[in-house]
Amino acid sequence: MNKKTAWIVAIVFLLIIIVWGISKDSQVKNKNVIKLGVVATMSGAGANLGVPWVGGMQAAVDEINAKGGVNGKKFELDVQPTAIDGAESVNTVRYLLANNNPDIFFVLFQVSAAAINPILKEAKKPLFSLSFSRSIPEKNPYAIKGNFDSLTGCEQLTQYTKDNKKYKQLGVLMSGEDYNVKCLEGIKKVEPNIKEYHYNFGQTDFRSLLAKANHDGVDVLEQVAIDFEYLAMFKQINELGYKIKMACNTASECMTGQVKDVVPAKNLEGTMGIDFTPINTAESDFGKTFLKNHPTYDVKNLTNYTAMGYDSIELISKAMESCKADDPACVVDAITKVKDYNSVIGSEGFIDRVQQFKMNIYEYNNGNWALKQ
Amino acid sequence: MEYLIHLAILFSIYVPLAVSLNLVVGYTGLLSLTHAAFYGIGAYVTTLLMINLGFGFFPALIIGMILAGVLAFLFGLVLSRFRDDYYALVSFGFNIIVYSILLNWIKLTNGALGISGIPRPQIFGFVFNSNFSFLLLSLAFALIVYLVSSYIAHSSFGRLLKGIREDEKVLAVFGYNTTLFKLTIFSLTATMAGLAGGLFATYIAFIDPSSFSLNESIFILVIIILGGMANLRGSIAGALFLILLPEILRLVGFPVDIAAQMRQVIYGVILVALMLYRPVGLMGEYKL
Amino acid sequence: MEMVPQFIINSIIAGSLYALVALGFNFIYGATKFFNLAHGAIIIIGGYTVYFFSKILGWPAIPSIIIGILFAGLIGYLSERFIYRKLRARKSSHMIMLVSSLGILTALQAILTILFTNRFQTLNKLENVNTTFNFFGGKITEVQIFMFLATIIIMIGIVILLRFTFFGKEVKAIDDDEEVAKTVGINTNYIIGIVFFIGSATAGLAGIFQGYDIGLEPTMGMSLLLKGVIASIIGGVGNVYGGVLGAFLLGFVENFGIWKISGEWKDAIAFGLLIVFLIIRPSGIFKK
Repeated sequence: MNKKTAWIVAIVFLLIIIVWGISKDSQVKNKNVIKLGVVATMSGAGANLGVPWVGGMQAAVDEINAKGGVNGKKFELDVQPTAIDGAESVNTVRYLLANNNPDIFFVLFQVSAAAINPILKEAKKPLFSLSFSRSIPEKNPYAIKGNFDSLTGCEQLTQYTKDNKKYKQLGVLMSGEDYNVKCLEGIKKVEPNIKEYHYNFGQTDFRSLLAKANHDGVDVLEQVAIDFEYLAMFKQINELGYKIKMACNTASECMTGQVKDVVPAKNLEGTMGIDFTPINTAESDFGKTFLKNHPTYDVKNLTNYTAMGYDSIELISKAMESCKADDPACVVDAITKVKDYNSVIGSEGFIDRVQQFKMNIYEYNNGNWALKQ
Repeated sequence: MEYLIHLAILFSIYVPLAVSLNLVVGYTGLLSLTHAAFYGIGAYVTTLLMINLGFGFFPALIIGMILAGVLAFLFGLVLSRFRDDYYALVSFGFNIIVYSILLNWIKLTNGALGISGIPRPQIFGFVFNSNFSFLLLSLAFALIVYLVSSYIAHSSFGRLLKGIREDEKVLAVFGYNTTLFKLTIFSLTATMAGLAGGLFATYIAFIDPSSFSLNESIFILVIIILGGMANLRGSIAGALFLILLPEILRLVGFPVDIAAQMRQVIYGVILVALMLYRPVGLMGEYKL
Repeated sequence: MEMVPQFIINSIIAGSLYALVALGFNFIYGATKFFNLAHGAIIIIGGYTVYFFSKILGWPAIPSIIIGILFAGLIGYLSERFIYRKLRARKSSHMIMLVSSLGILTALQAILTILFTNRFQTLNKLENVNTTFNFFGGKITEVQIFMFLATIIIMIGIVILLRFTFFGKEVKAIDDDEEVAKTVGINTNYIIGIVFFIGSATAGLAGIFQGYDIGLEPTMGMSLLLKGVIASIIGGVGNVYGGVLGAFLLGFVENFGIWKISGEWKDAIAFGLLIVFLIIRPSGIFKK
């Protein structure tokens, strides 16, 4: 290919893009649909949360649409797979605003949420954020927060462990991610005497840090971690033979099936956890009903995040009974004021647009989570 | 239309990145894989000065650029001992170290949480709030960087750089201080990357370390290799293509769960195909 | 100070893993003089192959592992046969080969993610959970002992191969000068193909151990590779003993480093060590 050809290719290319861009702008708007825009990661890091979450939302949307929708309007779920990256999330949201113009936005991770928050605030679009951090609704009156709140959650779990004298020395083994920073804040409110062990997110070799913790007399480690981190921690504590118990925020994240593959059940006795979502989702009431109604759904993708996604749609569908889709203030207000909807995750309403849950404290006994409080 | 403006802004931020890296890799023959580090320094310094110390955008940007250049000078001193593969590897290492600092120096950078609420640039009371006005600003900067780079490339300094690429030993024998030249171009291009960083920060209004990792350095490298080594217009074409590529993939409509990975596969295949069949890139004059 | 024995064991474990990566990498570098970045993907391919056979198909461990090692070797061989060989035939520079290996790494990693998702996977099943042994006050598991032994055996094996066999002499000849080796009648392509196979198989083994010891994720390859590269450079690139020594040194520094420095700086420490070495003793501990 010589230079001339290269130029021609480039110009043709450019023309295609411009034509496409113009054609998108003239898309007819369908007034009879409530459009939900989802910024989620479907492959790559975080997909193990994103895929079940979207699965739950889609299932709820299908069910509601099958019953005729809300006030005659059906839901339309527009999922844009986006990596957990600020610039990419901004790209996705701008794309959504320019093309489908969703009525309500959903986002899963803190980095994505923080990046798109100002844009959606300016565009006056309701944003349902499932990141662990309160900073999203704090900075945007159209934003609502669901999911675990690591500040209050960690505080509550620590209170339980302290009241029940579960530890002599508490420790935290944490990455620098925001949910952990807030968790540590919550822990310190109850127990200021805590030993900290930090690592970079992505690391999985905790052996030397654990040796340090053991040497420091730590007998309970409490933090927020992702499933693979918990897996490595449990496995290595077991191999090293240390008498350290884990306190998990959240319980469902830490005792995944994989952990039971690598650590004998008796060594998992006494693990503590806090959670609001249906633990052991596939066997819970929600899970069983879900699979009955959606028999082709891949069970591997049925996790507590499925329940969360499902729940958000039920919540919104209830809220939208009294609001028009293009009235964001009404939508946000209605969502936060919904009473008795079909909540599968024990929602107790909202305070300051932050969703409240009935938190349960569990201890792992005989191969299962036992409710303690 | 709004979305096209958004893409155009991204394009105008990548032009300085691509053009500056091309000066280092294409003209001087130094396979630097740490460009994203300077991009990141520019972004963070600009941001911190604006948010913590209330600086205006333009002064903050200039300081960000200068600091990126200074850091590049220090890196360059270490890098100047190495050639080819080693150079690439050590530059890798620098990128990772800078990324690590951005991620872990939480008191300064807020770590993985990132810094949000970065204000738009202001000049004489006019705030670049609308995206269209921002586009004009970023295009203006892109144009300036391009013109400066073009001037360098066609000047006698540019010829010296090409000489270093072709045969550094000969030049040294003739009494040219090749190390100084390499340091100069490395620092200068770092300030350009810092410029892009400052623009990026005020546009997206939110920055976090993940935008400045090794993957970003590799992305910029793919742009210039595709566009053509030692051809600045090629870098512009390359930037255009790679900004638009994800949008085209969106059109093609890959199944929702593999779209992002397909992009990576395509980048990889582009690199291999280019190296096999057209190592000079689309418009380049020089093979790596 | 009863932590110390455990720290020492942890250092040896980490060092063994890095050493396996370095061994394969160095072996390939020795014959072809280029940094094969695709090595990173091949590490993980070995692990995932075992995952596929032992966990998805339910085959027993030993046959799965053997297939894993062979398949990794095969992928390495294929990349050499169909890509690198063509580039070498055209006398492509090392940077072109580096960039093409980068392309292969990117594409392979993405393909693995598409096939196996980004979910973290372990290779263990409860029946063969790692038994632990006490060792001078620290604990070490069966898998970790095997990893260490494998490192030593392979290291000795490669040294014997290079020094005492005809094959080894041919490899050395190619390393000295490929052109001359050809004229003397050595089938360089054939020899290099075997070198790639062996080096890549070793990488696959590293990935397999990683899978049994901790677990697998598609993007792990890059960071393991970088550690292996650091180990090789510190110890002396191309030198078999050097790579292993550098790996254990790296393991020690990383683990003892967190005694006093907070754990988040682990990666930065590793690269810092690299840069210190490159400044003080760029040729590494052992010369080639």
